[in-house]
Amino acid sequence: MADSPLEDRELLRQLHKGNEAAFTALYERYQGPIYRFALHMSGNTATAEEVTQQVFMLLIGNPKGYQADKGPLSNYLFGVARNLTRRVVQRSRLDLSIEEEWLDTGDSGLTSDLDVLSELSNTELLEFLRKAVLALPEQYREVVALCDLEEMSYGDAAALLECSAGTVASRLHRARAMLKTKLSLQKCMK
Amino acid sequence: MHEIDPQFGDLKSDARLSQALRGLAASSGRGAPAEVGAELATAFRRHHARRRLVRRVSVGALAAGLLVGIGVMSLGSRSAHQVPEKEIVKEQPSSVPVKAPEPSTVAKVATTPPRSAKKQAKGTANRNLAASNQQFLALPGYDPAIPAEELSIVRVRVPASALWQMGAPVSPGSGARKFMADFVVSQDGTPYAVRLVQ
Repeated sequence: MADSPLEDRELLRQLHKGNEAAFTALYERYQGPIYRFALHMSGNTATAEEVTQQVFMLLIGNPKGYQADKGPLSNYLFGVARNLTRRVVQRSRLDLSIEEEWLDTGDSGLTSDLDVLSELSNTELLEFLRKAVLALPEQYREVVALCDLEEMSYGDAAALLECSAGTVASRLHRARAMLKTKLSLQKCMK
Repeated sequence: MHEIDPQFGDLKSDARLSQALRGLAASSGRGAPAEVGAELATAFRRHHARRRLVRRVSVGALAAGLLVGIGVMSLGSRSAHQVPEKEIVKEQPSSVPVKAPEPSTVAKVATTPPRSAKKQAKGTANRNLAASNQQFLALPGYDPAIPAEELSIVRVRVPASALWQMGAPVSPGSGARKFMADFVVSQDGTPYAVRLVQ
């Protein structure tokens, strides 16, 4: 994510010329963050795959759609992913099936990074946290997905969300407070 | 109001929540499945193969168009020079300077209803060229680069001595006898070729 914009621009230029290696490099660089962002926003792996595919298809079909003077390539790709995710979620109304999806694929989606998981209290906590993030209103879910889960800077997130960095910080603060409350409530209701 | 479970009391700590979120990020997998990447790579190859094909076809069509254009232009210019080249035989080159016939001696071959002088000259030239099988003799000032549209034929009566000086096939002994001759002249009256009528 921290790759220089100049390098991205050169890769994009090569991609436009038909250089498959350039496309692969860009794909390897951005597919992970894009996929996870779509997954955290939609809670659905199929949607995340579809969005990832569409984002890169757009890059293949119209690489000149990205204008370098408007920001880094990552912001452009996240912006496209954000719009696509929103559209797909609205179209298929996946909100109701979010929990099922996560419960069904929750364990299979885990990586082998057991050290991180072992530091958490238990997998139950992780499941609650997933549900809590998905239950956040969209504008809060976005900042959590970008800043907390993808470790994007406030500035980049602000550029992507077309708001100020202060707004991002404020939303994030509010989102974290909501998450803590939700987690506590879910545990209480269990 | 729900009571906050003390077990989760530590989640009030931002640090604890951040840690939990990092755990969530780590558990979200590394990215899209390999099939997505493979499909995109195939789409990329197909897209650019199509673009290359379109580009080749466009370049081919452009080249073919240019060739056809050049061919048409070349045929056009050849046909434009066809009449004078066929009619004018380059023989008996003469270094004798040739004067254009005096306007007073120029007799229009055909008397046609009033038209513009240019059109009249053209029409007359075409008729004379078609009517006569006798070939023109090129005069020293002949320039094949001049388009046929700028040439016209005028019929004049000239002394034999003048014709002989120009290289026309007349006997120098004919003296002051006058001959009827057709001259191919340019728009400024310069003669380029001559043909004896009698």
